[in-house]
Amino acid sequence: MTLQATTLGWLIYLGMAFYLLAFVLFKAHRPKAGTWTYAAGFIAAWAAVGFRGWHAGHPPLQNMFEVFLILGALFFPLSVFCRRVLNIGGEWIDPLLGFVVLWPAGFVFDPQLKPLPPALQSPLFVPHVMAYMLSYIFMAKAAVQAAARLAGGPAAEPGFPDRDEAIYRLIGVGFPFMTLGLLLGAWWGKLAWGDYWNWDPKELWSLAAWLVYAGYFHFRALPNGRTYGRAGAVLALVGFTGVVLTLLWVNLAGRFSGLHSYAMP
Amino acid sequence: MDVRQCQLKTMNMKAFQHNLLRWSLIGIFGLAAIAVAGAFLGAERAKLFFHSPLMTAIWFFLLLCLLAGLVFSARVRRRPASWAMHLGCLLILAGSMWNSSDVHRWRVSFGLDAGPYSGFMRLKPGETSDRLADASLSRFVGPLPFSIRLDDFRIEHYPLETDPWVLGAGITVPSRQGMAWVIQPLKCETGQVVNLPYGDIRMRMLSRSPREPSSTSPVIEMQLIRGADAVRRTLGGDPGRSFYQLPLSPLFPEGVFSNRSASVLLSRQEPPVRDYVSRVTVMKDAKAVLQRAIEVNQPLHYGGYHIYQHSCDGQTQRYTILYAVKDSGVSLALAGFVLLGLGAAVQFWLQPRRPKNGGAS
Repeated sequence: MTLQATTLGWLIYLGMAFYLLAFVLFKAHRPKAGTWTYAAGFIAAWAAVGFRGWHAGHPPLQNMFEVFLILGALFFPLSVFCRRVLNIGGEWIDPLLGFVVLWPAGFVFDPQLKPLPPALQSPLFVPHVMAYMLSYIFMAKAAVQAAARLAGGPAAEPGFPDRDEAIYRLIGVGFPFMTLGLLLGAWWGKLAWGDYWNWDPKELWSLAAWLVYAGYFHFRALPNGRTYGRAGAVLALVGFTGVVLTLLWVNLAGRFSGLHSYAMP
Repeated sequence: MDVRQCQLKTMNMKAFQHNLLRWSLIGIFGLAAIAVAGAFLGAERAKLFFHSPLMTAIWFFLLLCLLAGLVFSARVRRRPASWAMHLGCLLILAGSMWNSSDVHRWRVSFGLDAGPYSGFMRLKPGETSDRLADASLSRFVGPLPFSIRLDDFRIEHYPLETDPWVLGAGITVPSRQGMAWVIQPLKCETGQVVNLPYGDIRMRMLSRSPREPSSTSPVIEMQLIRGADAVRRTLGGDPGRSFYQLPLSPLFPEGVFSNRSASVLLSRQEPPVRDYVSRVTVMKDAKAVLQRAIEVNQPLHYGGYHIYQHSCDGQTQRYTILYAVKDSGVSLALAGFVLLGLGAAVQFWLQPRRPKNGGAS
C-alpha cells in the first residue's frame, strides 16, 4: 500500500474523504448534508479523472488504476438516477461503495502513465469499457440489495418498492450495458485480432457473468419464479461475484494471463 | 374440436413451454459453469475444449433451445424486443459455427468453399505472395485467391520522455520465452555509492559520459566494492550496441550469489510502439486492384478474407507478418450483434415491465 503524494493522489483522497463523510452523514440521518457531501466527493473524483485524462492525453480507461478511478467517479450520478428514475432506495450506502472503489486507485494500483498500445487505439475502446463500468455499478447496487434481502432486513425501505423489485430494476438497467460491453468487445476483438472470441480467461469470466444475469431473467419467467425472491437474490450475488472476478482476479492473478493483460496494474 | 380437447391442447402447450424454459435455464447455467471452468484452462486449451465434440453437442442444444423459444414461447413471441434478443443470440451462435474452421473444412470437402480457412504470411518490402502458412510460418496451408504485395512496412513509436539508457542490476530467470532478464534500475549520480541487490556488493559511480540523454552510447565508469576488495570497470561506449552486461560472480569469486547470472547492466530502452503499419497492394491476375495500409484495428477486407497486421520483425523491421482469415458467417454474427444489442436496450430500457403500484411484482 503506497500513498500518492501527488496532485492526482490528493484529489483521489479528497474524493474518498468526502465519500466517507457522506456515508457517515447519511447514517446519522442527515440526508441533505449527506447528498451535498456526496456531490462534493463526486466533483473531487471527476477532477481526478479530468486531471488524469489531461495528463494521459486519452480517456483514462487503460489500466486498473484508471478503471477504478472512473468507477469511483460514476457512483454519484447513478445514485441520483436510481433514486429519481428507478425509484430505488439504498442511496446511503453508495458513498461507501464509492470509497471502497476509490481505495485501490488511491493506495494499491500503480498510477504510472503508460502510452496507449496499438490494440487500444480504437473508437470502440471508450464505449466498450464505459458500457462495462456502468453495468458494474448497477450490478453492484443490485448485489447490495440482494445481500440485504438475504440478510433478512426489512423487505423494503420506506417509500420504495420491495427488494426483489429493486434487484430486478437494477439488473434490468445494468444488463443491456453489460450486453453492449460484451458485443462491442467481441466486435473490437474481430477488428484487432481477427476473432470475435479468443477464449481468453477474462472473456470467459465475462461470459459467465452475463449468462448468470441472463439466467436470472429466465428464472423469473418460470411459473411462480418471481415468488422465489431469495433465489433471485442469490443469482444477483452470484452474477456480481462473476463481475468482481472478471474485473479483478483475472487481471491480478498471473495464472489467468491472456489478451487482456495490458489492463494489468 | 370440443372445449375439453382445446383446453387439453392449451395445457400441453403450456407444459411444453415451461419445460422448454427449464431446459433453457439448464443450458444457460450449464454454459456459465463451463465458461468458469474454461477460464482456468488458459486461452489455448479453452479454445480446444470449446471446439470439442462434447461442446459442439452443447452448442447445438443451445441453438435448438433458442430456435424452440422463438417458435413456441408465447412470452418471447409476444414481445418483439425479446424475440430480437433471442434471434440475435441464435444468429451469433449460427454465424460463429459457420465461421469456424471445422465447418469450413466440411464446406471445402463438399465443394461449397475453397481456399484455406486462415493462415499467416511473412512479407518483406517489395515481396508479393499468395501463400499462407501456419503459425510457425514453416508449413504451407494453402494459397489465397489473390496476391498481396508489401509496398512498405514501418513501426511508429511514441517519443521517449526519459533517458533511454538505463543502468541496473539484473538476474536471468526462466520465462515462457526462455531465459529473461529481471532488472532493477539503479539510481546513482556521479560520486554516489549504491548497494547492489546481489552478493553484498556496492557500486560507486565514477563518471558517466556523455551526459546527453539522446546519446546512443554513454560510457559509465564505476567502482565495485565488496568488503576490502574493489575493482574498477567501464560499461558502454561501443557504437551500435544496445545492451551491456558486467557479470559480478567472476569479479568476486568468493561472493555469495543466489543467482550466478547477477550482473550490472546498461541497456537501451526501446520507445513504446504507437502503431504497426503495412502498406500493401492486392494483386489479382497480375493487376493491382486495391492499395491500402493495414494497421492494428484496421484490417483489410478483400476476396472473402480479412487480413490483419499480426506481428513483425521488431528489431530490424525487415518483414511484417499478416494474418488472413475467412469472412464466412461474419455478417450473420454481426446481424446477431445488432439484434441482441438493440433488443436488450428496447426490452429493458424502453419497455421495462413495472408493477403499476410501484411496489412488489
